[in-house]
Amino acid sequence: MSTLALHDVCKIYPGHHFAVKNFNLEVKDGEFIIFVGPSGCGKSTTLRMIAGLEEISRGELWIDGELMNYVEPRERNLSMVFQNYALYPNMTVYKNLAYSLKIRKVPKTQIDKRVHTVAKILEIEHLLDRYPNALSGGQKQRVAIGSAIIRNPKMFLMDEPLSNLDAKLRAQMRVELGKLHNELGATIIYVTHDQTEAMTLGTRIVVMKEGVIQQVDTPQMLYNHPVNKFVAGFIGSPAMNFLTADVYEFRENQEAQALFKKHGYYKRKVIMGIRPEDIYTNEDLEDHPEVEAGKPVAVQITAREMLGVEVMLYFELDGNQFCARTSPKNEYQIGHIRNLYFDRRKIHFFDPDTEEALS
Amino acid sequence: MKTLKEKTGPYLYLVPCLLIFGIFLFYPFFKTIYLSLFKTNKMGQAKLFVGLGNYIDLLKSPSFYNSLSVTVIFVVIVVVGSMLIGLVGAVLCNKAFPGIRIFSTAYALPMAIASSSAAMIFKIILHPSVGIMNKILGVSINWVSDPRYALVCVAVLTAWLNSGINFLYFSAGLGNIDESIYERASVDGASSVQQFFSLTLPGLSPIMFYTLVVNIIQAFQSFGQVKILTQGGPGESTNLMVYSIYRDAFFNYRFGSAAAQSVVLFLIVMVLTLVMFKLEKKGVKY
Amino acid sequence: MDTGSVSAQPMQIKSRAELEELHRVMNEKAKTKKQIRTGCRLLVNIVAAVIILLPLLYAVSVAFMPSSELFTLEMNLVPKNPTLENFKQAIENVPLFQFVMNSFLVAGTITVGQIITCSLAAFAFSFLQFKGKSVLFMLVMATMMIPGEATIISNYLTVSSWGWLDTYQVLIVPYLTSAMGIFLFRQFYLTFPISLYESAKLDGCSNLTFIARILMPLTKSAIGAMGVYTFINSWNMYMWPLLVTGSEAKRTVQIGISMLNSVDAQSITLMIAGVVLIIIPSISIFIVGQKQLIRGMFSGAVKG
Repeated sequence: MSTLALHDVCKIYPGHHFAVKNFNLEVKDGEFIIFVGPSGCGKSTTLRMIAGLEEISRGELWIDGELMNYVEPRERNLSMVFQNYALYPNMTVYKNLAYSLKIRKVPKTQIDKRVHTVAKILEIEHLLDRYPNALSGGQKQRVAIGSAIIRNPKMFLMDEPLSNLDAKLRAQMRVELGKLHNELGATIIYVTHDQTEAMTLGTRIVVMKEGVIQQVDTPQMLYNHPVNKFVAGFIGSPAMNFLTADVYEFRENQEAQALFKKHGYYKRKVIMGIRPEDIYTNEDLEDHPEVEAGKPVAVQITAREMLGVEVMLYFELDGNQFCARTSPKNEYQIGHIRNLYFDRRKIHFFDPDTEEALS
Repeated sequence: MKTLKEKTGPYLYLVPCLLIFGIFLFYPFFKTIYLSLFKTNKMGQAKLFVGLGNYIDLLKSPSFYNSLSVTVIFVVIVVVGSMLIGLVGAVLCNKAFPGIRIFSTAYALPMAIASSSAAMIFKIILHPSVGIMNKILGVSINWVSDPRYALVCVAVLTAWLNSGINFLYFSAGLGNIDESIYERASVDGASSVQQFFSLTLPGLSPIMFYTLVVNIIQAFQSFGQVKILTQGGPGESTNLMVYSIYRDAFFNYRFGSAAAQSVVLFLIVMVLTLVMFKLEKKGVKY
Repeated sequence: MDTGSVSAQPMQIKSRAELEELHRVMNEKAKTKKQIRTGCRLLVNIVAAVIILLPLLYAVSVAFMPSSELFTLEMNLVPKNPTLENFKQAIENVPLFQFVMNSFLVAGTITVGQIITCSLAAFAFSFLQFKGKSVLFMLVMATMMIPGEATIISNYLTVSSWGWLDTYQVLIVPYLTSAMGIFLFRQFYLTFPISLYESAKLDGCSNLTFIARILMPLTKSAIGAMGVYTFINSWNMYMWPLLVTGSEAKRTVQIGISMLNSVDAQSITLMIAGVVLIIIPSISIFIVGQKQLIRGMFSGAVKG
């Protein structure tokens, strides 16, 4: 397998509009890289530039140390899974799988063997004679992945491959994709707008916004140490709660105090962020002695969502909508005023102007 | 209980169209079959029942066989020619480029031209002494008066006329092909030529069948160009079935024989249509 | 397209200057390649379009030619002394105005009539429930298989027995409906939910109001397509008018002009001038309505 490097890659559309701006990334062999971000953030465009389907306006794309900017897509030896699967409607599943091998003039017996091997891995052997329009979404998905893995490309590019599936199938295919990555040891670049997919699949995640990379990190690091408010809000579900606060004194938290001192935030505003799972009820605190609970905050519950294993409590704090993920032990109902506790160690701070994390 | 109005209401909306179809399609259709079993007078009135006599006469007549074979050759040239022209135009206008609107109008334009007008224009083009065709080719061929060329000339003219609508059909067909399969194919390693033959052409096959049926039916019905350009001649080399029907009925006043030929024409068209639809069901699986 | 060039091969390059130079060269190359490609496409299209339009262009050219110019053995693609004489002669020699009016009347009435009858029938076939609906629909569709030429003799005998020969109605009435139109409209109507009809009914809409106020405005593109197609076809009708019209007063343009069809020297250029004149209306309507035609005819009816 192969390595990939993008140096200052830009996609510029007429009118000096940057769809992607100074994209820098090094991908090592065998990594599962996720491009994630809201729609229009340039993630698909970047993937398509790697595939050669879009011209690179500026910067360099290297694969295995070779400059790829001016190499035709068909010479790049990559394979791609498209969002709408892009199966050839006029070919059976068998021919769809075999197409890329047939073009490379691989002997028929060998093609046959490969097709059956791949079909077996993806459990689509019984579908080989069908035409794509006779397949369900999940089956099409498998065929699309099958025709990508049938040859040994330098890497796999996947453009939102699960977005057209229903929730249950998506979860199942997610697990299988992860398995496939382990088995093939392949380098995969994967585009999605779904942060759950990103968190569960990726070895490293590239978070993008408006054509610019925000952070490149492992899922763990992204979750625990988001570099800015956007990443903090984008990663994690339900999203992090934010609150603008005036800093005057922060006696209880030595660490935060040092932070503010260092950056000179006394008597200024900061944005405070806390994830729903780091907010505790009285009942939950008993089960979590490790939590460094701060002063109780009295809030009025505005909504309660019972999800079985957990309960989402919604409330308003200083005009901001907050959500807390709590255990079902509490019986708080809409309208109740109750004390909640924030885990002090898990509070994030962001500059109100730049929205960068303070560290 | 439904009122009478509620019961008959829906049918009222069908009255205008069923009336027209009844009087000008179904009735004449059966009357044609009826007439084909009779000898008629000059007024077209059925006078003498001859049973299948008219059909037997047809089957004995070399002129009928000639007209059949001429029609078949004609239809083949027209259908292949007009579909090819339409296809080339559609492929040429498949990707956006400056001026595409003008070119697609040009390729579709023949559909707006009457067969009679086209025939008169071709008459000048193919004129033996002043025609531009001979001048360009540097030959002196009497195109429409030479039995070797006359049929081809009429066929080419018809192919040209019919190509316009084929261009539209094929353009629509190409537009229906999902753009992303080309992207996948190029990442998969297919060249443009490979993509054309493995994706574009097969991608047209659903519309190809439909277009083929429409074209065949249309080609069988060609009349104006024959009437104006060759009058079925020279000899009977361009005596297409429809023209033969016209001549038998309105020049020779042999309405019975003409009616029998009409029935044969209908049977041919019907069988072809049914066969095509059967084939389509078998051939196009997606 | 072209991948044989050196550029297709991956390269090992490291230094910054080398890279900049490569970008410059390759961008230049890509630009030229694009220009060449567009140029080629344009050229091929121009050639193809000229070939397709050649008969028409030639006809226009001949129409402007003095007849002395046509009758030479030299190459005469373009008139050397263009003249309007042929058009003048054509208008003077044949009652062209009368023919054009007749054709507009016939084609216009057929077009409007077809839109009305087809809308009514398609409405019943898609929104109403009645006995024999599918049989009747099959019957209507089956008419597409009967070539008009196969029934033309009996039709001629019918209308002549009614004494309808050489009238306007004989040109119009037989064409007042079309199976294709019913099919096309029905395709469009079927995309509307039945609740559209039901809620209109609840609002006190009669069926006819529903068709006129709701269905027809919603299917403008289908109506436009159908209108353009029907008008052009009626304008271009030849066999039926040839059989049933006798006097100049009722002749349509196609018949009127083809009466000029003779090889007599003077009349060739005159005839072509006439042909050009009568092609203008149908081509104009085609060009104006082309977009409608494509959108309406092919959006619903033809699906891969």
